[in-house]
Order: sequence, then structure tokens, then C-alpha cells
Amino acid sequence: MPIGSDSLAAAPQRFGAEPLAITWKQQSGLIGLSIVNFILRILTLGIYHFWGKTEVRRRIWSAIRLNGEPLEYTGTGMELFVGFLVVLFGVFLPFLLVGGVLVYAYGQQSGVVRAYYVLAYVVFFFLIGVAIHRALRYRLARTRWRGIRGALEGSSLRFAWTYLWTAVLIPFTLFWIIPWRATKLQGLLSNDMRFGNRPFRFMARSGPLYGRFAIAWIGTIVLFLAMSAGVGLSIYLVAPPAAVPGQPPTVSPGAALAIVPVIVVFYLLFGLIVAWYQAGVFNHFAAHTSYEGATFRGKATAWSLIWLVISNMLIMLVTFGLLAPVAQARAVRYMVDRLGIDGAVPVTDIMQRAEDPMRRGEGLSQVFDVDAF
Amino acid sequence: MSTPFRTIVDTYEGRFSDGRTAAGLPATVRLVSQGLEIAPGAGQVPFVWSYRDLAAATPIGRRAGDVLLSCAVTPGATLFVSDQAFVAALADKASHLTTVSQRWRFARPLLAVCALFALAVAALWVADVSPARGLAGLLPMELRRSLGRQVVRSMSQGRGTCDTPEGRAALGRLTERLAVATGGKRFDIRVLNWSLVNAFAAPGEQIVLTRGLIEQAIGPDEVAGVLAHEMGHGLELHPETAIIRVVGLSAAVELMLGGNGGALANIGLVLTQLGYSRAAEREADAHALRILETAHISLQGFAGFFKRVEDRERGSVIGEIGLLRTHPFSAERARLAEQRPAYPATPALTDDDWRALRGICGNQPMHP
Repeated sequence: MPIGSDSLAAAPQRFGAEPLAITWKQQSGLIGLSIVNFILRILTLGIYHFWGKTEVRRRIWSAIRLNGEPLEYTGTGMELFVGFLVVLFGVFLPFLLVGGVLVYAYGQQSGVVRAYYVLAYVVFFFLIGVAIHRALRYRLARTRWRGIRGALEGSSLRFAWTYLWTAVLIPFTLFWIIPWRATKLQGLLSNDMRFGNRPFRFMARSGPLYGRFAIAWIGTIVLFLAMSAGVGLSIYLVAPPAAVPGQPPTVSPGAALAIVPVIVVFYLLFGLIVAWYQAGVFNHFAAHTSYEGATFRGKATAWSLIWLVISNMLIMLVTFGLLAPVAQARAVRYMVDRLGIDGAVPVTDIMQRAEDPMRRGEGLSQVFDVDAF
Repeated sequence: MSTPFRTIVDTYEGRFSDGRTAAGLPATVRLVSQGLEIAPGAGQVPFVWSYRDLAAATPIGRRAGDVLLSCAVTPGATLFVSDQAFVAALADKASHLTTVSQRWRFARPLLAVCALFALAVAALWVADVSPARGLAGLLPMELRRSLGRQVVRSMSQGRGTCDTPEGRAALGRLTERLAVATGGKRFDIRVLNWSLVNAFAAPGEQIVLTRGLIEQAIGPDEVAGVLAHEMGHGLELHPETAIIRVVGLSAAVELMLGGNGGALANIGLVLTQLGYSRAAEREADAHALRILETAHISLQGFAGFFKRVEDRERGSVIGEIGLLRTHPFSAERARLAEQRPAYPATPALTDDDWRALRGICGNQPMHP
């Protein structure tokens, strides 16, 4: 049973193990904050983005309650801004400059330029892995509960390497590496996560995910075939192509409109399949993650997940991204609502850890746009 | 000696963590004049966090139901109070924690910097200082030539170059004659087999003339006038400046969006589409007049050609990259030429050379 804020004062003054409950406490004023951030961002030629983002994170973190007490986000806008500048001027612009010089020196169609682009794609993909790891590291280092910091240890290069080579294998394995890859990557992250001086443990195997994955995989193929047939059929029913001998059949505008609903239905069904698979992954990973005496329990479902995704997409589309903070809060809330914690943790044994020396925030993830919120 | 009891406002229940372990203790909190008086656990000695040193996890609004506080003096320690009355009372004592003041603390310097930036841009605009122009002046000659070759190559793609030996020799003599006023700069001129009536200056003192222009010109003085004008653009580094602007904006954006440098390759096209500013055209004209005067070539051809093309194209559909689109203000140009004092002039080319120049494309068919 979640412990609400009302029971705070009555919480037992106990030393040793404390049962944990995670809850969401809705923060007011997120819409107003979105609008203020938008205006300030325009007035400052975009630079306020990093401070606005920090402000939003402070609210979202604060809405997550463990035993009624909020998480605290201690990152600063300046850290995000400096991180962005470092990556922009240290990685991105040098790459552009070298590319430009090569194009002028050797010409657009030359082997050197082509090789450079191939190399650049590989390096960029590797950097995305680095970005994911470093972004999580920064966020955990800037997250506190009862004053105790989180952390991510381990090497971001090792994570990025695994991220890269497993991604390369995706097409060659006809996507069947995906469950194994997701488990591998999650293990690399979760096993390096710390709260205070104590580690999280992630013991999932990918085997149990393959049943679900097989169904999703076959379902997607069947769906694709059905869509192809549906498109053909709807064109034929609305306006049979005029069969002029010696000329390719032409499709009338009416028929082109008729395939729109077929494609919309395809995307909805495909989204549902992906959501069903992802809900299974979420629950599987949660069930095999533990922290000290506490274990997690995932309660995600396909329907709730697809509703979250579609409603958030609508929020973003209708408001042209203005209400992105609201969508982000809803996504975090979904995870909090769908996560249960069983067992107790020995809070008096969890000690503060030394501060992570990382002083710049998430430059790579901001340039590559891999951060969710 | 102050008596604490007199300054007590009210007592609230909260939860205190010392920041050393993840344990939390129930705490009694009072708002006294010097700060927050916190008594964690039963029978513990109370201590005071001064209002000045307080920080809140989120900026506090009056309607916020709770607040998570920390103190700069004891890093790591936190106090959580879930009580709206407490938050409201705290907002009065420590106003720097409120939403508005927190936001302005970050936004004000940023707004100030951006206002300065906007002022600086405006000042540059007013003073007619262009950073792209300054950068263009810093480019080494080798790079400018290489840029120019790239531009000329992309313009001539799919079109032939016109270079009969006689035509080239004639063009060479015309260039030689104009070079007396270009400060020793040798312009490299190429004629493309293109029906379009136009001329372009490319970086690195290179100029492209179209076959259409040579055929539309009534005499060599008109070609000399156009050449002198394009040389003016070249001397002022206008093509280099335009490319730096375009590269700085569009190519960066395109590459950032995952493009593959198409914008870089299409700079030739960009130059044909992009007119120069009115000021840049005037600068080129000033050079043209000076060059023609020094070379003793009549200004009639310079003014007449643009005027004639304008008359001919007025009313008709002007081509996508027609001469007028990229070289406007022909009336102003004619006026400028008429105002100059007369001077002794000879035709830009001999009759034989003019014939050779008109035949520079040999018997190639005209390329659209």
C-alpha cells in the first residue's frame, strides 16, 4: 500500500529496514511552466532551453515519491549548457569542418569523401551509445533521495561498443537479436547503477522474452502482408486501374485516398504489437531488478502503453511541442504508476557516496537528441 | 540575548535526513527570526538553518503542498515538510525560494546577454560590417581558387565549355586589357555553352560567361562592361562572402539534419540563384567604371547592355535565373555611366578578335 504524505508524521521511527513504496504526486503549474519556458526560450534565442529543461526536471523528479518523500534533481542549466557547447565545438563542428574541407579537396563523389561519411556514421552510432550512458550517469549523479545521491559506474565506452556491434547485427539476424541485445544493454546499465554506496542488481535472461518476440515478429509479417493486400484491394474496389495494353496501370486520386485508412489501421496495429512486446520487456526487466532487500514488479500493459504513446503524440502535435514537459511528466508517471516495490531496504546502512566528478551534463545526448526528458 | 520563545510563529512536523545515510527522522520545525529551527528526533538538540542559506528542491509556490529543503552550510542534509501552511509561511521569510524569483535569477542574465547580442548585431548592421566578409578576406588564395573551381565545375555540369583557340586568344587579350586596373589580379574567364544570358563571378578571381550573353552582346564593349562588373564582384570578394554565408547557415543545418553535404555541392547553383545586395552591386559597378576608364573602353557598352536586356525582357517572362533577377538596377547603372566625363576610348576588341570571341563555341550545338 502506498504511503501518502499524510502518513509522514506517523511514519515509524525505525532504524534498519524500511519498506519502500513508490508513488506519483501530481505537480501543479506544469502547463504554465511550459508556456513561460517557451517565451523565455524565444527571448534568449534558444539559450534558455537548458535552464527551462532543468526547471522541468526539478518538477518531474519532485513528483516521484518514495515513502512520500520526493526525489530531488540537483543538476543546473549551466551544466547542460556547457555540456552542449563542449560537444558542439569539440565534436560536431570539427566533424563538419573536416567534411567540408574533404569535399572541396577531393570532390563530392570521391572515394575519400564517401569513406569519410561511412566512418562518420559508424562514429556517430558509437557516440549515441556513449550519449545514452553519459546521460544516465549525469541524471543519476544529480538525483538525490533523503540527500543520498545515485550514480552510474562503469565505462561508457564499453557500453557504446556493445551498443554498436549489437546494432550492426540487427539486420543480419532478421531482428532476432533484439531481445538479447535489450537485455544485454539493460544489464550493463542496471548492474552499474548505485543508490548511495549500494548497487542495483539485474539478473534477467533474454530467453523468456523470445516467446513474446516471436509472436510480435510473426504478427508484424502477417500484418505487413495483410496491409499490402488491403492496399491492393482498396485500390481495386474504389477504382479498378484502367488496363490499357502496353501502358503501366495508373492509380486514380480516389484510390490513393482509399489506402489512407488501411495504412492508419496498419500503424495502429503495428504500434499495438510493439507496445505489447515492450510492456512484456518492462515487466520482465523490473521483475529481475533488485536493490538490497527490495525487488521490483512491473505492471505495464499493451493497452495502457499504447494509449500513453498516442496521447503524448497528440499532445506534442496539437501544441507544436509547446507542452512537451506535460508529455514527459506523463511518461515518467506511467513508469511510476506501473512499478511496484516489494520488500524493505536497510536505510541506515545505505551511506552517502563520493560525488561524481562529472561536471558537464549530457552534451552528447542533447546533440544527438537521445534524451527522453 | 534574544529569547527564542518570543519569535516563534508556529510549529510544524517534518522529516529530516542528515545526508550521511538514507535514514529519515521525524523532526519538529519552527520558523524563528534567524531561520528554521529544526529538532530531529526526540530529545535531540535543535539547530537553526538560516533563511539565507536555504535552497528548495523546486521553487515554491504559495499553493504548493510540501517543500524539500536543504542548507548550504550542511550539504547533503534535507528537510521535508508536507504542510501548505508551512510553505506559505516560509515563502514570506525566504522569498528567494519562490518560483518567480528563482526563475528571474537565471533568466535575467541570459536576457541581458541576448539583448547585448541583438544590439551588437544591430550595430554591425548599421555600421555595414559583415563578419562573413571579414572571414572571406582571411581565406588563403589557394582555398579560394579551389572553391572557385568547385563552383565553376558545378555550374558547367552537363554543359560544354567553349574554347576554340582563336576565341580563347581573343578573350585573353580582352582580359589582359582590363587587368591594368585590377591591381595585378589575373582573372580566369571561362565561357560555358549555355543559352542563358548571364555572367557569374566565382571565388578565387574566376568568372563564368555564358554563350547566350556573348551572342546577345552587340559589340565587344558590352562584353567588356559585363566582365568589368563581374571583376568588381571578384575584387570585393562578394562570391566568397556569399558562400561563407550559405555554408555557415544552410550546409550546417543540412548536415546536422543528417544530410550528406548536398548543400556544399550545390553552391554553384546557389550563386546563380542568389542576387547580391544593392550595396554589393554598387561596389561592383564602381569598380567596373574605374576598370573601363583605365582601360580606355567606352562606358556605353556597360550601360547599354543591361538597359537593352531589360527592355527586351520587360513584359516577357523573365527566366528563372535571368540576368535581371541577379543584376537589377540597370536604369541606375545607365545614369551612373552618363554622368561620368567623356574620355578617349577605343573598341574593346578588334573586329577580328570580336569575331573570334563570338565563335568561341565553334560549331557545338547550343545547350539550353
